Amino acid sequence: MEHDGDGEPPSQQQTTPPAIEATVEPVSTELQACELGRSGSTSSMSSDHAEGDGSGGGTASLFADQDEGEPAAGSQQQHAEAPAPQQLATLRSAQRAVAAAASHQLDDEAEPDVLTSNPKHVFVFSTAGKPIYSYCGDESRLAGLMATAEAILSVAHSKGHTLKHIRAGPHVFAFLERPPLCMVGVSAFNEPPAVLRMQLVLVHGQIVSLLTATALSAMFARNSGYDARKLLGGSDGMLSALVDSFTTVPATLLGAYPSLPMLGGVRQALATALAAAVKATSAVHGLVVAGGQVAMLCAAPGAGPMQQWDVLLLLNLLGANQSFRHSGEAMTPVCLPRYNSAANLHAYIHYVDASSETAIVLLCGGMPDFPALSAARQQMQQQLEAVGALQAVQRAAQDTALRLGGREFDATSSSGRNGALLAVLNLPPAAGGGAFGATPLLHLVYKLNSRQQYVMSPFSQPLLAGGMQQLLMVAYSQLRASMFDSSSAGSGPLQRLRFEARPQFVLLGAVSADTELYLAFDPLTDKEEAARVCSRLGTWLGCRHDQLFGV
Amino acid sequence: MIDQLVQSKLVLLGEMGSGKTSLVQRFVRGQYYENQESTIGASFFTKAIPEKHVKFEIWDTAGQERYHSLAPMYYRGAAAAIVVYDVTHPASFDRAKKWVLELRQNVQNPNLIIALVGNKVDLAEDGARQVPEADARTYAAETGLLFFEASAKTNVNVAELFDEVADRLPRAAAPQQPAGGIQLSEQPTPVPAKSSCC
Repeated sequence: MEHDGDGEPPSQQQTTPPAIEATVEPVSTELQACELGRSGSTSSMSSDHAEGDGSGGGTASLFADQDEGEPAAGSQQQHAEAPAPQQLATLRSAQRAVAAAASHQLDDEAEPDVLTSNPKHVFVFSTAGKPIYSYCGDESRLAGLMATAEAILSVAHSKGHTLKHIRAGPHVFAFLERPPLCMVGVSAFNEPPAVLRMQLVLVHGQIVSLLTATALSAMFARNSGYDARKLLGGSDGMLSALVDSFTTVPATLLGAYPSLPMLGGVRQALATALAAAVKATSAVHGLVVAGGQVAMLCAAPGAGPMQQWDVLLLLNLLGANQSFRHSGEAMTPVCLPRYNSAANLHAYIHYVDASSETAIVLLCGGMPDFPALSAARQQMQQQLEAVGALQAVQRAAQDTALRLGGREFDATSSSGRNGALLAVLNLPPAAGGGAFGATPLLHLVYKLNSRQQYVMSPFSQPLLAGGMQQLLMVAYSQLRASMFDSSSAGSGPLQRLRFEARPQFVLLGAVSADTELYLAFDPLTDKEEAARVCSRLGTWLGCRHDQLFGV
Repeated sequence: MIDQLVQSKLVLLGEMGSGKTSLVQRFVRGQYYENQESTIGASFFTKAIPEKHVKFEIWDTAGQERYHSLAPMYYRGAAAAIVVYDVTHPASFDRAKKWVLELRQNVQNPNLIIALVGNKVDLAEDGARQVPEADARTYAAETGLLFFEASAKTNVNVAELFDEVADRLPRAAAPQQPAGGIQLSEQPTPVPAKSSCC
């Protein structure tokens, strides 16, 4: 393995957070433009305009298959010239307004510390300015904050801009407009804005999955001031679990769904049985999920594979709702936005085992035939239990359990998960395996682009300490964003290999045509050692795709 | 001796948070969870009462408004419906009346048994009661409903409720109820008697 030769120093000390922002070329140009007339404000701002035409390709390379910017930004693209000075002035005044509003908010509102108490915040309101959801605090008491965000968006709109994000002190405000809804994400973690916006796309997707996009539009077309909370009643927990997952698992930042690592024969048995059940019930998709990961996914012939974003929403629906686990069998309508945002599918859900969260899910269009679904599931279950496949899935899930709905994630219990295929302890010593102290390797995340799946090692010491997992996830997202610089305009990653030494750990990212491997090492690891482990581990993982990933 | 059990479809309807799932969990598993999560969609349970020769196939529906349009899928072909309200929450009683009206209008089965259940009576002792028992009892009598005040938490009247429903199931008509299904056609056609062993 060698470092890429495009002049980028292979090692980069990454201690000051703003360095990330500076690497994003079009944004920094905009920053300079802002600088010219700035009067002491520390905030910076970027808009669609400023990020220019390159940004579409750039984010596309970071999230290879998202619809980023598709509906909202498209109409704005014709304004290609740089913003006029007076427009910049308007944007600057808007940006001062948000800073003022944020500090005002602290004085005025009954919940003063909503932005400062939690480093991460997400809220959703309708284009009419009605609060719909808030991650922290009671959404109805945050009307002032939401109205301010609404005002800022409309200032940008009136100038023909689409606002993507604002930087204000330590906070990044990311905006996503999907009429009739607006999503705002606030983060003090210094997460890359593109990642923040992708998180908002998922939040929007989860709301659509409950109501369908058609119903949402119809509802607001009838009455623009409609209070959507009535229809979303009882789903706050699901949205909050999704937001929690953004900093506990790397699914959103990688744009991939978690696959359950298993030995080869088991997956084959699952594939056969699941395909038979899908066929017998005319289901569109069938899944076996366990411990928040996908063990097997099967699409009906002609249905096309399920997109990773839809899989993530479905996993969150399952993980965040305890009620499925307590009932024998359950049916629920669910809309998969990437599959068809206009209609509901009916999901048949049966938990084989509640403790390992192993479940069989069948998704059908049209009127569901419950007895047929139930019968097909029973037959499938018997068949799989006879060969021990379901038991193997449950064991694998108990070893690796990482739930997308991170709020219930219990870090302390993961110390006993020694059986996991990918636990650092169980890797071959030559590839960096071993007990903590004997190997510099702390954690790995491995993504297979062609299948939109990733696997990661369960957390072990010292990553079990409070806040470390969150720190690591944010670090991975920053590392990845630096490698997929938006200026590279869709032509793949800017860097194939990137090394970052941080106070808590050393990070190494290696990207090839079809795989991405991100590693965390203990902070004293040097470049040579990290590169050596990365190279060997890459080879080891490369030989085991069939065990790590479903088809 | 193995009893012949008659399968009967039963559906629970009512406002979100009125305690439908808690009632079912109490009846089916004898358990009570303090902070029961909202049901999503609908859950399916079975529970046999051998001494009454009945096997209930229970659809516990979600109370949220967004699932309202799915309700016909679950009450179509049902032998009995349990409409639940919360005695501490008057709006849930109004919602219950609407459910009864909808059932009367949309279900063709003239023998459909509807039971009105005021849940959470354990809270009524603390003075939190908002729906007087007399009002609900009068309404139930006028509209021909079974009526119970129950508590899933303290296990008051739960078994009695399901026993009473089982007693009222028409012996002759019951075997005509399709086994635990969702009718695909608009008008349920009687299927040949279908019964199974426990």
